[in-house]
Amino acid sequence: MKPGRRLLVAAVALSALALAWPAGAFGTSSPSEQAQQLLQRTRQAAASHDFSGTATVTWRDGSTVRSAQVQVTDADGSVEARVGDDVVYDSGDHTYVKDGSRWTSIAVDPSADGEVPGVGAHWKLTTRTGPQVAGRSTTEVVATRRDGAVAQRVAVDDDTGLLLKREVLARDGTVERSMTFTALDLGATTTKVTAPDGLRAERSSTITTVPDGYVAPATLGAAVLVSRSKQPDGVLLWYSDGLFSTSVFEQRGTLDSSGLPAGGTDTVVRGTSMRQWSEPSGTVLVWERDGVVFTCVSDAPTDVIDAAVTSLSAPERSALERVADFVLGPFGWN
Amino acid sequence: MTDAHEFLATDMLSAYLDGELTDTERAEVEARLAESPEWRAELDEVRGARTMLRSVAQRDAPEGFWDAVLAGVVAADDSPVDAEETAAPVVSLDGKRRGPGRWIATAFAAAAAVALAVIIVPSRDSVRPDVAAVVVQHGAQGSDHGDPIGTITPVGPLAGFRR
Repeated sequence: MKPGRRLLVAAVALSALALAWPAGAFGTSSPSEQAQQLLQRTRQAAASHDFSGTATVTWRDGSTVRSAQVQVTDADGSVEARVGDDVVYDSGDHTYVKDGSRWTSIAVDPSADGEVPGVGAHWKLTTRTGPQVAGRSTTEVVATRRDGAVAQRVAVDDDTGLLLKREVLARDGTVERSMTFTALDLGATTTKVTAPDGLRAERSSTITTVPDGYVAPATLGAAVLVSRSKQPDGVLLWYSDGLFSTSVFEQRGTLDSSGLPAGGTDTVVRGTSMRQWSEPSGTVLVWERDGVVFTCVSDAPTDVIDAAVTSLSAPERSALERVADFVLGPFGWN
Repeated sequence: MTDAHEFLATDMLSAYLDGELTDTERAEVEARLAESPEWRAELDEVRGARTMLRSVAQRDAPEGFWDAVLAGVVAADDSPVDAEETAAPVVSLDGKRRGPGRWIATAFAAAAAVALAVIIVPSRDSVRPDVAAVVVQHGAQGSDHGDPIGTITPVGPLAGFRR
């Protein structure tokens, strides 16, 4: 196991122990505590079980449901997801991406991050007997919104604790995206999972306050700000509500729409025009406000994202702006 | 402070507010700020100026504005020339510009220049966000705080952002 992952797993194990301690035993804890323990167990399982398998990833893009087959390998706590020649390799504190023939790398330092809120703080969690996934019996953890609408279902392998299926649902019950193992081979993997040689990971620097001109709300909807980091060309914020997370990358300047990826749709959130893409790993939104270009990525359901980005997209009119409105209003400049 | 020092201070303080200094440079600036009232006053000025500039509402010209400007210029060009100009086949350029139509055209041109200055200046850097990189970064961050299998696997097919 890689050192970074070992530390993380140790921290998770301690957290899980702390959760279980008051109840004395898993069998006597509340349904919500059982669910939280199962979710914690998935993290430990990924670090302690080697396997290779195939997962089907689906995502809803407008009215179209798209899918891809991903080869997944877990060895010594490092995870590799491969689609053809494209590879994502994650060892905990380093993530490498191979797009065709080009590798890029990202280094993350979670030790400097703030505390992630408990999943039970905002979501109601329950467990029930889950479906058979890749021929294995599972327990399903269901997270529901306050109004009872299901937001996420995950199926956890009863034997190993590995997460075998995840579904994120819209408020109306539609599955917005999913990941389901269709085949799983436990044990020592024959596929070698290694980071590319000689590639230096770009490490961002953690900051306690964002530079002048950027914004960093303490919360986005129910999600709280967990980390801020300075990137070479902007500031990256990471929010979590314990179940879903949202990254917000801010760059000062004017959005050059011609440089955006193909596809996507135009959408408006509280009066702010945005470009939106639906991706296998989440929803992406790009917009500009007050001289800052925002790129937001979230694995949350659409309604949760809309509530979250509202605080980044709806500026209050300043006193000076109101004066400008008054002066320029008669000339039709509003 | 000399002029050269003022420029240096302004540049450094602007970069300081942007978080663009190295750790060493930032420490130097903070040391200067601690000991120099002039630098602190300069910092307040730079911060105030930036805040004011950023808070000024920026608007697109209303629909039809540029058409109206263009129409005004064209109308001025097409306006009837006066008898004096007609009678004199050869006139100086300056004289020709003094015609009333030219004054109107000049006024429109000046208005357009002012409007352009209001709308365009100060110009800002053009930004092309690397959306795919942010998606991967999000996955990397999420894998450290949650289940790495469920987080990393869907990052594999970066469907919309292939180059």
